Amino acid sequence: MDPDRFTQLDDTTWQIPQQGNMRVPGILYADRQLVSDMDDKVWEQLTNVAALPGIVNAAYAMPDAHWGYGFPIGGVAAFDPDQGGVVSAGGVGFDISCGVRTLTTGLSVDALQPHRETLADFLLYRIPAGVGSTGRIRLDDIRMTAMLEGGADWAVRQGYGRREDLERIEEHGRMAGAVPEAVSDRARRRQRDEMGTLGSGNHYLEVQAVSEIYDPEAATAFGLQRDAVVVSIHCGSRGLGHQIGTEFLREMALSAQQYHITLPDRELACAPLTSPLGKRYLGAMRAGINCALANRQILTHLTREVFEHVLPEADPAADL
Amino acid sequence: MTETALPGAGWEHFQHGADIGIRGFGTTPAEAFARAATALTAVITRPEAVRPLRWIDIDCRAPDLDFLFLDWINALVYAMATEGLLFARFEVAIEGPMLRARLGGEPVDRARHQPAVEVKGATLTALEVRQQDDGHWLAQCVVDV
Repeated sequence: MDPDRFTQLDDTTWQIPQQGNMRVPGILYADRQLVSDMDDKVWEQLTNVAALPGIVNAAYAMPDAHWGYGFPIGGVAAFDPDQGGVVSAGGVGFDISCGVRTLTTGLSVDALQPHRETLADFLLYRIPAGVGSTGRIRLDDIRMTAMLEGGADWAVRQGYGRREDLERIEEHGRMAGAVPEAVSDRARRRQRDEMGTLGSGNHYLEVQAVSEIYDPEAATAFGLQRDAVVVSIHCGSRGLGHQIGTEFLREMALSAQQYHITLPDRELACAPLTSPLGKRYLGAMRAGINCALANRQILTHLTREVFEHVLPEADPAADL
Repeated sequence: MTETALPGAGWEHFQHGADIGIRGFGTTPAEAFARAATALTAVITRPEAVRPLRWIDIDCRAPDLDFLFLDWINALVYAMATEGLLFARFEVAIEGPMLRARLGGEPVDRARHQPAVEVKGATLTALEVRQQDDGHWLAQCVVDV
């Protein structure tokens, strides 16, 4: 993307001035090289987001911005419910609350070395990944509802992990305002056998080594030192989140006209935050967040069990 | 993507960032829908490797052909996810706003099918069903993997 298309505000701030149907400007944070390497679609998508009702201040894009669905990936926007602000199922996407959890292990690379293959085999055995994999946990409807309300807090109460884990998890492991009743039977059905599974695509569980420390103070605060072994778990709300995204994307795209919303791109399908549809989506989405929090907690617990078996001296503990 | 369509197969993939577009062609919308479904299977595995051992019926209803195609692809994604199946045969009939289909497939065999990715859902990106200048129908969208 040509940086000269933007108004440069400083070394790392670039503005798309308000024009056409934009309600606010677009702001991109990146250096000149990063902007040059970006897809032109970032400009187009940022401009489209800036046209959504009730957007506050600006449509923002972070330095990792790239072509997404409706919104650029790495895009940030806030909406004011009192100004007709919207919530967009397209913007949130299928992977509701996709995120990474990192665990320190107390091990060094040298200590792990002799056990690498055994550890990998046990992790693969214990943590189902990839297409067609199912977990060992089956949730009936009552437990599913409890999970959707309770998130990682529910998982800990079921014996997956330690209560102190919750202190290190976003929202202390439980997103308030979840409405399990807003989650369809189909979304529940899709999740029934998927608790404790990793999924596929870019989702992973990796045993990683700290190779370089950039900020010693922050590293110490997080218990990290060079050559330390950590475990990173990247996944989201699995099939439940995918199905919530699928259903609300369709419903919002079809009802935009009813809410007098002109979509610059159908993928930006959205509804006013204060509308029945917007509220129902927020309730379902928050339940999806709890599903992701619960799943990452279960995966944490399974990871610990494997480490305790293979490397009893390890302690995959603090969430970072 | 695990497979590139042979010329004349009636389907193909197209690129979208880290995801993938599926596209089917046919003399009718129903034929284009069926071939796009083969393109969907080909995102996951080689369609030739999937045997039609189990048949299931699905139906969808939508206000227009674009959304009917979206619903069709999402119904396939849902059936794959909840039944643990891959599909290779698609008998599709479209009447007005209704689609009825029989899907022939088999349970995922991870050793034999070597499934590459799980499809999360059909997106509205590049969603299009239209008759081309040569009279043939095209049906396409990007799927999130």
